Amino acid sequence: MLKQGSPQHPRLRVLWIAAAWALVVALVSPTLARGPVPIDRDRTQIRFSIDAIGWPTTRGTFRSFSGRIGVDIDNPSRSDVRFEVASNSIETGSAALDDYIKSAAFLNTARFPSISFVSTDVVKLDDRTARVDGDMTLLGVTRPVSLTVAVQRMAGARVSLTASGIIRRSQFGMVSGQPLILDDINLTVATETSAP
Amino acid sequence: MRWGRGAILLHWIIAALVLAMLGLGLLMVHATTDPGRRFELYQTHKSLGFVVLVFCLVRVGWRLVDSRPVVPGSPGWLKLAARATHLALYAVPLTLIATGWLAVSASPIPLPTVIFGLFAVPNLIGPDVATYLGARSAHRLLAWTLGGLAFAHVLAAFWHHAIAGDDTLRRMLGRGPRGASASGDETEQTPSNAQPHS
Repeated sequence: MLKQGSPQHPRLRVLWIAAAWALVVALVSPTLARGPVPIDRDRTQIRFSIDAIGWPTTRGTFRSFSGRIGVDIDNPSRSDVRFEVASNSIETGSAALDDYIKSAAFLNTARFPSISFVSTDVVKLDDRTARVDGDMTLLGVTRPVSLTVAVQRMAGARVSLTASGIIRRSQFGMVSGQPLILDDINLTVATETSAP
Repeated sequence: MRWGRGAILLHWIIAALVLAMLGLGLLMVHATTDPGRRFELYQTHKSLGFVVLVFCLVRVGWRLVDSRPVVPGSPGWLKLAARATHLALYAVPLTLIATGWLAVSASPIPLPTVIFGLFAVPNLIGPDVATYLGARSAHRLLAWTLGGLAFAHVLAAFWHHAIAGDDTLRRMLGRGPRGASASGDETEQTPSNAQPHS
């Protein structure tokens, strides 16, 4: 707190603190750039789709999540990705269907509020593709999952990353509706981050 | 002479419900590509199905205790066709609902039927894919059959009205005297107001 009678107007004070922080961030950012940074939620989408026999493809997104992502394009194995997704933030466009997916038959969100992914290895496949191996925890069960990531450099030293892969839900004990509802869930996570 | 008010009311309520259910069934299966919307329509279809079941059972009970009117005469083969259609119009909706309930029960997708979100109805059997697929096929076939029967029934009503010139259709709209002829075999008596036909 500033002393009583400080010449600084409160708004100016806020500006001053913000400017100081910006300077600090600018000074240390070359180091931070190689380490994980929080994901940009406004530029990140977590989408899934699943098919069922005699039923149109069900698509949905998860709205609430957090995570950190560290991309090292030159040294992919040093990259690091982790996501934590609120399972009850699922949206398919129908509240009734959402409620059903959140029920004990599928995501059981009351008991398992989060779905998480932590990378264990990142391998560069070619200039535009990488593979992220990691552990996914769904319904309290942790299983290895592998995602293919399309990497695209963008203007302003930013990188677009689109990770996609197939989650076999039975591996996590989610067997409801089989064989009518198929086992494979197509997962796509699209995000943007700053390149080092 | 005509059916009693209760029977007539039940007839039109069930007619409206059956038409709505056939339309809903077609809409949800063949015209809805959005999975969420389709999911919601299925739940409505299931809820409404049990409403129709209640009305059908009331109708059958009513039919067993209420008196029947004498119907206008028809040529021999038409009598038989009318009898068969009317019998089918009791049997097919009930069987249709039964196969729907069976399909929902046997479905491997564990989705309870909660009537308009208020209370759940029990499953008839546990999940079984073969039973589910069989019941679903029968449900579809019976739905088309009921559609055909309803169409024939409507055509026949208009035939009575426009060609035979009798008051069958008007009586089903609640006009005309209430008959009390429970004893008569409907096809063997010819009421005085029936028109001759060829």
